[in-house]
Amino acid sequence: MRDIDYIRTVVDFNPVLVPRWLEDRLQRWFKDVMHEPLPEEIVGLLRRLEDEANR
Amino acid sequence: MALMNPNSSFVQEMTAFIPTLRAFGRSLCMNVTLADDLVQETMLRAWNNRAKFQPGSNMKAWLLTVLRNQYYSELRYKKFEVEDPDGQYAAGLSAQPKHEAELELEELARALRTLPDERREALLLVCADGLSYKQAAEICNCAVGTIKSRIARGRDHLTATLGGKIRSRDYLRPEGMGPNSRSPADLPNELWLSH
Repeated sequence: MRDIDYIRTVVDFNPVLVPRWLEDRLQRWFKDVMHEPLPEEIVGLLRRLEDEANR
Repeated sequence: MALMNPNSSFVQEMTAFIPTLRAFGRSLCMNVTLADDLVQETMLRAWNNRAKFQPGSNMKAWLLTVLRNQYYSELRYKKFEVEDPDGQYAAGLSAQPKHEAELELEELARALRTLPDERREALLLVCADGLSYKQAAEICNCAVGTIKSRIARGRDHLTATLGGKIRSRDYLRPEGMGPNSRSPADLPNELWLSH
C-alpha cells in the first residue's frame, strides 16, 4: 500500500509537459471564444435575472 | 453605505464568468449554438440553486461544474444529432481566404473534435483556462492523476495530429514573456511547458 501511495504522490507532483506551441494555440482558441460578443439570448436572460434580483 | 442586494451581487458575479462558461461550453459541445444553449441552462440552474452557493467560495469552479454536469446529463447526446459528419460545415469555414492564425485555430478545432470529451475538457481547463490540476479534478469529479493522464493523452493526440502543421509563428512568444522569437533550433530546450 505504501508503494502505491508513493507512486500516487510522485504522479501528482510531477507536471504534465505540454509543447509551448500547443498551449499557445489552446489559449488562443479559448480566448477567442471568450472575447466574442455575447449573443442576444444570453444578454436577454441576464437582464431578466437582474430584474428578478432587484424585485 | 447601503448593502448590496445578495441576489444582485450573485447575478453580477455570475455575469463576470459568462465568457469562461461560453469557452468551456464550446470546448465540450464543439458547436456554437449548443454551447450557448448550455450556458443559458447553466445560468438558470445556477440562479435557481443560488441558495446552495456559499458567498465567498469559488463561483467560477461552481458554475463550470454546473455546466459540465448539465452537458453530461443532457446535451452530450444532442451533440451527435447536430454534428457535421460530412464535414460540410468545416468545408464552408475553409472556403473563405483566412489568415494563418485563423487557419491554425480551425485546424486545432478539427483536431479537438476528434478527442474524447474527457481529454478535451481536461486539456482546456488546465492548459487554456489556467486552472490547477486540483481545481480541474474537482470540476471533473475525478482524481488529480486522472486529469494528468487525460491531459497527457490529449496532448499526444493533438501533437500527432497537428505536429506536421507547426508553423514558424508557433515559436513566437508574446512580448514580456521572453525573447520575441525562437528559432526551431532552440526547440529542444524551449519546446516544453509544464503544468
